[in-house]
Amino acid sequence: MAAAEGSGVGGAAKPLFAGLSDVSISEDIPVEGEITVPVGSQSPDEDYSTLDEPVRDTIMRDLKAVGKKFVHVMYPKKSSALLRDWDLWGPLVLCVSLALMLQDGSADSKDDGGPQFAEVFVIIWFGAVVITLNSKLLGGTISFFQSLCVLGYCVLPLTVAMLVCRLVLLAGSGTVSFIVRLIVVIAMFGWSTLASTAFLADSQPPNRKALVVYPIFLFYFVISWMILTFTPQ
Amino acid sequence: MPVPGRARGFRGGPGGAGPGEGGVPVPVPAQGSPGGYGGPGGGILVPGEEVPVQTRGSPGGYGGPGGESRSRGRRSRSRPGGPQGDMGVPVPGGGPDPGGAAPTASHFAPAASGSAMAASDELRFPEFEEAAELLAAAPGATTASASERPSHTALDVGPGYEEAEPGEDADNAELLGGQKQKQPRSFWTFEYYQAFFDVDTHQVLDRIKGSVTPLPGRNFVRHHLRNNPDLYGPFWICATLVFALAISGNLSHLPEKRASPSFHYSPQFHKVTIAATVVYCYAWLVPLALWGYLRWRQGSGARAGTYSFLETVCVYGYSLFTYIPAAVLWLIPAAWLQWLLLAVAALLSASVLALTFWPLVRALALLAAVVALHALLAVCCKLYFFQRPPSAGPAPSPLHATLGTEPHRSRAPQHFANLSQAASSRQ
Repeated sequence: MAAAEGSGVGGAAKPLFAGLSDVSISEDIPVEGEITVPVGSQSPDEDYSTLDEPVRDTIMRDLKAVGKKFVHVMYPKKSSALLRDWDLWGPLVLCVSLALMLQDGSADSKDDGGPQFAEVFVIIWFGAVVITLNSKLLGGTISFFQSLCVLGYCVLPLTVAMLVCRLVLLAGSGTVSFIVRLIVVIAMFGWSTLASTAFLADSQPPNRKALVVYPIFLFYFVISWMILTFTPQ
Repeated sequence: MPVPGRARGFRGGPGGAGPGEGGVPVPVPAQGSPGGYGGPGGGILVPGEEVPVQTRGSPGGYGGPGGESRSRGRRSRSRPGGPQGDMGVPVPGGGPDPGGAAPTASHFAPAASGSAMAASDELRFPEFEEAAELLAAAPGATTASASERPSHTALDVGPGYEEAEPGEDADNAELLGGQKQKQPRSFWTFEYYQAFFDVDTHQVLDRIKGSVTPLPGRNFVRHHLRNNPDLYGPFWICATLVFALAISGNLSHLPEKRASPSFHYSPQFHKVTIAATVVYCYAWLVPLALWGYLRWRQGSGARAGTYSFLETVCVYGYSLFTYIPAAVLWLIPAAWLQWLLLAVAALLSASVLALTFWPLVRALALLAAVVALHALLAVCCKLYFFQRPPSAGPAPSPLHATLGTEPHRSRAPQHFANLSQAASSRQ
C-alpha cells in the first residue's frame, strides 16, 4: 500500500519534474556562491551602530521604554507591552524613591519610627516575589519576571501619592491635611490594585482569580498604610 | 476466546479513542486471553485482574498505540505490547495522558513486544491472537515484565512526571478522585509544591467557614480538607493576621493622641516584625510539635491514625482566622468588649482544634494543652499590641510592666506614673 501510494505520488509529480533525472551539472556552471539568510533586521549593522551611538541615545532608549510602561500603568488597558518587554528598572527606581521619601518618619527612638529604608525595600521586593510565587503555584501562566515587573510598575500610583502626601504635609499636619492624604492614598491604592489586576488576572485559571488577587490587594494595602502613617519629624 | 467478542461490547471498540477502559473489569485470567488491551481498538478490557489501573489518556487504549502514547518515558509499557493486561482500568478521556497507566498495571501486562504492536494498524485485531500466543507461549514473561517494571518506573520518575502510581490494591476511590493522586516527587521540584496549592476559591472559602463553625460532628480535617490540605490558607491567613494585629494595634493608640497633646503618634513599624515572628512561629512550630508527639504515640502503639504534617498545619492555619476580625474589632475602646471578643474568638478556634484532635487523642490533658496554648496566643497578642502607650514617652512599655499594671488600666491617671517610671528606668 505504501508502495502504491508512493508510486501514486510519484506518478502525479512526474509531469512536473520530467527530465530531472537527465540533468547533470557540468563543470562550467558555477555552483558556488553565498547563501545569506536575513536574520533579524540588519543586526550586524545595529551592533556596530549601538557601539558608536552617543551615550545619550542609549540612555534615552531605555528611559523611553520605562516611560512608556509608566504610561501603560497610569492608563491600564489590556495591552501586552508591559508583559512582553519586561524590565526591572522602573520598579527599582520607584522602590528606591518611595523608600527614600519614607525616611525620617517620626524617628523619636530608633525602633519606634516608621519603616526604615531596608524595611521598605524588603517589603516591596520580598512581597512581590511571594505574590509571584503564589500565583505561579496556583497555576498561573505568567513568567516570574513578568509578574515582578508588573507588580513593581504598579507601585507608581502609590509613589505619586507619597509625593503628594509629603507636599501636603509641608503645608500643615492638621485634620484637613489628614483627610486630603487619606483620600489621595485610597484613590491611588485602588488605582494600583486595579492596574495590576488588569495585567495579571488574565493569566490565572478562572476559578482561582480571587485567590490571586487577594495577596495583591494585601500588598498594596500595606504599602498604602506605610504611606498614610508617615509623619515627618 | 470470548475476548474479541467482548471487546466489541466495550467502549472504544476499534480505534477506541481514549477511554480504553474496559469499563467493566472482567475477571478473566490473564493467561490465554488475548489481551483485552485496547491495543488497536482501544478500550478493550484486558484480561487479567480487574485492576483499576489508571490508564488515562492512552489513546487507543493500551496495547500498541496506547502503550506508546502512555509510555511517556515508560519504556516498560511499550514492551508488553500484546495484551495489555494492565489495562483493566477505565481510561478517562483518551487524551495524551501524561500520567499514563500505573506501572503496577504491568502486573498484568503480559510481556509482549509492545512497540511492535504500537506500530500496527489500530484496526487490526489479529494482534489478539498474537498476544494470546505470546501469553501462552511465555507466561513467565509476565513476571519478567513485572519485575522489570519497578526498575523502569524508577527511571521514569522524574520532575514533572505526574503519573499516579496506585498499588495493586488501589481502590476505586483512587480512580474516581484519582486525579489527585500523584507520585511522590522530588522535594526540589516546583511541582512538588504546586500540589499544596491545588485549591479553588470556593474551597478556600468553604474551609474558612468551617473553621469558624465548630460543629460536633464535623472533623475539620476529614470533612473539609478531605485529603487535600493546602498551604495557601495557612500562609495568607497568617500574613493577614500579622498585618491586622500591627495595624489595629497602631490605630488603637490614636485616641491617646486626642487625649494628651504631648503624645506623639508613631507608626511603630517594628511591631510588624514582632507580630510576624510570633504568628508564623506559632502556626508552624506548634503543629510540628503536635504532629511529632502524635507520631511518637502512634509509633509506640498507642493508637493508629494520625494526621499528616500538612493537615496539622492546615488546621492550625485556618483556625487562626477567627483572630482576624477579633483583631480589627479590638479597636473599639471598651475593655469589657475586648475581653469578650477575645473569649469568643479563642473559644471558637480552640473548639475547632479540639474537635479535630479529639478522635485521635482521647486524652484530655493534650487537648487542654492545645486549647490553652491557643488562648495564650490570643491573650499575648491582645496585651502586647493593644496596650496603651504611656503618655510620657513614645516608647512602648515593656511587656512585663504592662502586665503588671494591666488590671488597673481602667483607672488611668495614677498608673501612668508607674508606666513612665518603668519606661524611664528601661531607658
